[in-house]
Amino acid sequence: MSQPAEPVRLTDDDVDFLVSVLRSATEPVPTRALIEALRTRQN
Amino acid sequence: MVTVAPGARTFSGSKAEQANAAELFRLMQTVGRFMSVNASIRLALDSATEFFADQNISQKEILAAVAANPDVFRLDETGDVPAILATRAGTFGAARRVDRSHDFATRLMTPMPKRETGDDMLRPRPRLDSSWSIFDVQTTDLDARPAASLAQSFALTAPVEEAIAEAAEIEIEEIVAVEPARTITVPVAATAATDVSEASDADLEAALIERLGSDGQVAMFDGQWMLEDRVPRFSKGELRKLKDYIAEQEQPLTDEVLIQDVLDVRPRSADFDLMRFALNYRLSKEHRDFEFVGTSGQRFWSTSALAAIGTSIRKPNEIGTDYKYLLDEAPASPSYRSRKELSHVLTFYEFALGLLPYDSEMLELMGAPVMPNQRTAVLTFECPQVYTTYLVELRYPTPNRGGFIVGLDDFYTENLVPGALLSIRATDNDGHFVVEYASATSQSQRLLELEERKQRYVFRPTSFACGVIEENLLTEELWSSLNGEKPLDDKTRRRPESVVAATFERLGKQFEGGGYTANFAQLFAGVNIERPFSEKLLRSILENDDTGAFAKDPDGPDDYTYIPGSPA
Repeated sequence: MSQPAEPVRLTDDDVDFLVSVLRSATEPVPTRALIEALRTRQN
Repeated sequence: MVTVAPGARTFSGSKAEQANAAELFRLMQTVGRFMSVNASIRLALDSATEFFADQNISQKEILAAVAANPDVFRLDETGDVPAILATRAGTFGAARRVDRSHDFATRLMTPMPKRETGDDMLRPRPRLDSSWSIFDVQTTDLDARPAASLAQSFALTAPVEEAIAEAAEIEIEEIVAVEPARTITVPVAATAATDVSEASDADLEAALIERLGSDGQVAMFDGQWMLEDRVPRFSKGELRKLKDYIAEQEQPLTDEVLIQDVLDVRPRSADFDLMRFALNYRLSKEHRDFEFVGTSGQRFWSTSALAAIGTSIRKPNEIGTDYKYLLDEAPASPSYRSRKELSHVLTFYEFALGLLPYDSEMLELMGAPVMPNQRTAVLTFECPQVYTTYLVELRYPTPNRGGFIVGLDDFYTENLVPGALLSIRATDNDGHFVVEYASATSQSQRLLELEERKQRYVFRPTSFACGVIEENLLTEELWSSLNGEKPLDDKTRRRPESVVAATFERLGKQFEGGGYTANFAQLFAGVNIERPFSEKLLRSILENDDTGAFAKDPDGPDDYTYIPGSPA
């Protein structure tokens, strides 16, 4: 029986990054865009 | 997933209080199973009391357990009804302590200690050439008239015979004690970026909601995010206008309607999306005056002044209790919006109250609740056959009450009969559905009705043009024994097994030996006259009966028998 995957936890660094993303936006940002930002940042 | 297993946690108080606290904590964790770890789970005290009634735990005992464990539970009496608060983590967390030691007010009012100045810290003043120092005069002497000659009134003093330090030659010593060099330790960045390469979008979304959702500088509503200080605010006057407008319209209104009609922001306006987000976010913070009752596709807002949608024949709490069996049949992991369409045969109970059950199939057709503690969702059911769209209300399940959809009374009475076949289809808008019934040639039969004034069953000629499942039709031919009968008393009605036994007797098909036999479909229609049953529940009662009262009838493909005298 496989173990359930550990839930993802964002670090303070991630939060600072996401806040900076939101700061650059003038309209509400969908969750999809924040997820893409996290993935793009990693790449 | 960080949760505290009730068994792993210790509680305070007497043994009974500890046991009750453990049960209460288990219940709270169930209520908040989809919430983040530190989010405050809220459960009305009345709901908890009702839930624990079966376990003979009184409200007083619940309150005692709450009082004995202040770290785990809190009692909130500020609202209309008392509520119990808890978190999945089992604690409310330490309050954030703001470090005020370096703010302006503290530094202004707290003088620095006086610095110690020893002789060696004094800086010698460079002396002028002694030839410049001629007089040693006290200023007070100048007031007195010289009694003698001017020359005599001055006392020449010897020039200062201190070492004449030429300024250029004196080394100005450092008088300030060298403070030890300050060492600023920069913590090594231990919080590097999270590796998201292996994480699914669903996991990342959950992580965003958990971390950013509780961050005060970020505003979030229904999958959209913005810095909180950039979200436009509304004045008290504007909030009052919104509330009054909803009350005037006498029905919940969507965010788009509110923005256009009250705030006068046009859909083509550049800031329409921003204002819509602001409206939804700001109203979600005004718990006392506004309640979100929408879906992602139709964001309805309601106020406490609005009348409830749907029947008043039976209270919503009682209907929810009738549907309690749905909690046992609910899937562990809901698959919202995984189903495009479902079919349903209308029962007498549903027809009488204008209901549909929020069973596992309906759950798969619907969207997930938008807000964490959302109680209801207003949906629109469009019936193209009658050119009408009905406003209905989905009441989400609670820990001890099943969910259901209410508000279809008019649709049913004008177009259908119990036994009619319905289909409900989802649309791209997760709050809007298309409901259709099978059309058929018009016919007339004597069908069961409950005479409201006398509260007795009667059969009346009824014309209908909808397709029906014959075995589910409550015709006088099949159910004649019900004519003139009263509904079942509450004691019988409360026990599903008793309702099944009574239905066998109502159908009246006896066999030799004094027992009754019945076809499953007819039984299903009969048990659903006064309280709801699912097929799964009915079969469970018929096939898992330890008393031997019910059994499979080998003479029919799907028949069952009931032998009275065996306690049901």
